[in-house]
Amino acid sequence: MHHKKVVSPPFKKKSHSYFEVLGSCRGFILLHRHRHILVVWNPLTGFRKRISYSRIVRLRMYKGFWLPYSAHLHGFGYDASQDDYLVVVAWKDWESQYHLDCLSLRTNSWINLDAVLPNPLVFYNCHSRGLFINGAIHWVPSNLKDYRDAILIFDLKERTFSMISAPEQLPTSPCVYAGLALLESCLALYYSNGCNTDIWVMKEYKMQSSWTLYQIPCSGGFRPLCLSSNRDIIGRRDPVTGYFIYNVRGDLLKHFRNLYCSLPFGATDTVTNKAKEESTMEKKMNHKSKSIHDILPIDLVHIILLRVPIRHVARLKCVSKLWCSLISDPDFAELHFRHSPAATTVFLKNGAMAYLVNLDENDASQKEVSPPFEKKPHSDFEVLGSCRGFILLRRHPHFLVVWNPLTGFSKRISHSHIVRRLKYHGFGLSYSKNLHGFGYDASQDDYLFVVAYRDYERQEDHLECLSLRTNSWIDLDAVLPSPLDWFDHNSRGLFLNGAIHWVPYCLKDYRDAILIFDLKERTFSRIYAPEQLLISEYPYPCLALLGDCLSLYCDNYGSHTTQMCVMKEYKVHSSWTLYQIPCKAFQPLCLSSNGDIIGKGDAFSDKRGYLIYNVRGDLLKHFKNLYCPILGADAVYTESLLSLPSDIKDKDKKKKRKKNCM
Amino acid sequence: MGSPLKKIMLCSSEKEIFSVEEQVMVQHSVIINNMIEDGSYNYEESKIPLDCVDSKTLKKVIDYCTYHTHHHNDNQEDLEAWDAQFLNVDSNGLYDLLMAANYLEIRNLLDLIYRTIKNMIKGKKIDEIRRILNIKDHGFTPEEEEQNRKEYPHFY
Repeated sequence: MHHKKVVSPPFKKKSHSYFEVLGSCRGFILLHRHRHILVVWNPLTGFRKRISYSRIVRLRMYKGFWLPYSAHLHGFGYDASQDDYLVVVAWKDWESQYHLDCLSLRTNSWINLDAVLPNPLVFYNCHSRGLFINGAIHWVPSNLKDYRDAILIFDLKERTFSMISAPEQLPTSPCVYAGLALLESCLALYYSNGCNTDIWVMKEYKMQSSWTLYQIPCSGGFRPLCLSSNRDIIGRRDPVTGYFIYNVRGDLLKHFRNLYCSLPFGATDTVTNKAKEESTMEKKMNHKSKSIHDILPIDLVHIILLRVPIRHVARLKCVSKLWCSLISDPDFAELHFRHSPAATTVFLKNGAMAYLVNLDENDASQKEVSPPFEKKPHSDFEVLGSCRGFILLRRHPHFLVVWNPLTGFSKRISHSHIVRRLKYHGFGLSYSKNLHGFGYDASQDDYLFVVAYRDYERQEDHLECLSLRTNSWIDLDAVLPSPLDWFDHNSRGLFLNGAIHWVPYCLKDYRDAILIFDLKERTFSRIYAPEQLLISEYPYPCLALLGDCLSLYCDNYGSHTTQMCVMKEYKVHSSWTLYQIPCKAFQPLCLSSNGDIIGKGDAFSDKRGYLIYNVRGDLLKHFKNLYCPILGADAVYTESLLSLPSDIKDKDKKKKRKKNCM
Repeated sequence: MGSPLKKIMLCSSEKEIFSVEEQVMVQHSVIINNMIEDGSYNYEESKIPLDCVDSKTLKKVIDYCTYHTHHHNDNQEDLEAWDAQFLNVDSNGLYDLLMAANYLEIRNLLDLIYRTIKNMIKGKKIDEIRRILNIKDHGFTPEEEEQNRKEYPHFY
């Protein structure tokens, strides 16, 4: 009896049903649901179970590229000795290291088996999907050159690799499109051989002499799927759609044209054996209209989305349900941020409003945004810093506001206890009286705002740190360095490499160093300024982040140039490199994708606006029509779709996620 | 690395055989480079089967690798102009090339195609993106679609 039945995969969100089929075993189907979830499903009973795959996904991801599937073997099988179902994945990371991981569905845990990897092992040469039979997974090279190019076996019980040779009678020319099939209970090897498809069946497992040849007269490549109850061979012929039944002598008995049969694009289907029923499950695929979704695997669509500048991504949610689900994935924002080029967006306060200026060398643009204050009209505010797409604002009289202008998210925190101790109502207003910095501690996944200030009434110094995860201020007076010589530093610190950096207001000597506060270790340290900067000539240095490098720049009043020193390797003093930009009062802001220097020119000359210089000091471009106030930029940052971590919200989210998943 | 005169055979999904200078493919494809380096390619007999790459696409991929091998000293602008001409194909052709470049792990071609698709959708209206990428079934229910259009009219 031959019939088809449309089944719906066991995902709760119906619209998100994009998936791959990885294998089958004892009535269970193993599905890979984008992007790091494996689902084991019995379509007959409806049972399903979900397992995370994210460790492997993370390690395979590199700079927005996915490794191709060819560097990846997998198999799904059953270990009777432990009554356990196992998923085996052999894969190559970006350092070309091979790994072997095994998932036990009984314990729900991944076991690292790197130690048992055979040597040498040429993974990319094998079909990635393994065939389960006799307690072991079997893989075959896709171009079988020699019978000794054998079938690779991984025994699930012993956890060892072994090989069996292909039949010695293999033709002398290489056998292309080789594959494995399970015909009744026998391992079968097939490949196309001229105008025939050869099917070798190993009648007795691991008995070399038992290989028996059947030939199917089909030039287009026949793929055997299973045996009928009369022991005829059922299979598919690419590129003809439908299913064919041949007897062992090679006579065509039947052709089912009306069953669903996906495009011959490779391993998307799997055969399940059940006690009484043989049914073919196929991935649902619309093969008439060739749209991007039909052709490209989700991984590739994902990479395309990761490469679109983040400010264009928000609208792409409306393109299709698939894109919406990819972009809404909590990991997407983080991945996109990690693969984004360094900061190219400038935040500029303009009265009670603000401008975002995007300095992409090809399409510089600007947008007016309204800060997220409840009271209208807006009162004045001050920009304290930026980090990972968030801007930190101070609002009179004593509120801090964290804001992601792209997502619109904002959060308000009081700092009234500091205001009470300070006579001055704020941070930036009394430049030499406090230090502050806004940064991110990756080890805790927490955003921190650090303030060092002096209580003049009591003649006390204080250091405090606001954790945005816990929403609380932490007293760090104990780690204050001594002697306290920081009050001659620029008050706003620059965040990079997990630490806040402040530069002295007046650089008289290169040993007047840059002060560093490490957010993870919560310790202070110093690095020397570059020796190339001559002392008395360049008195007012500033810090900038160019690419990933700390840079220090100052105006050279004598020569109408700006001196710029870049620390190419962090904390390596000898790596300071000097550049000269032939523009007075040039303020470097960021690097272009070509490594050219983008900055703000002198407001009182014809160099007003944004300029792009190459490292040799040649002017490449000049944007005159963008908003560019006389005073400097308030913050240079990388836009993101990130949301703030919060201990309170996390619980809700987890609950929600549990509900929403599948 | 083999000698520049050696040829290797690539076999498309239609089983058409393409003979290419080994150096050309080794320089660009990580997968083929690996095969040559570890000696799993036999010069007398092997054809590398590329089951998911059709002849038309494979020919384009070989053109790309050949040109970039022989013109890598050209100036950037000329190369970019050639690349732009090279990718002047319809969207299906572009996807096929992307799949092939991904399969063979040709990183600079991958990069080029990603950049091209990115530029095709960057800053465009939703309806336009759907047309360009030939997305007919967007998967939203009519209610959801109407809701989106109401909420973000400037996107469409």
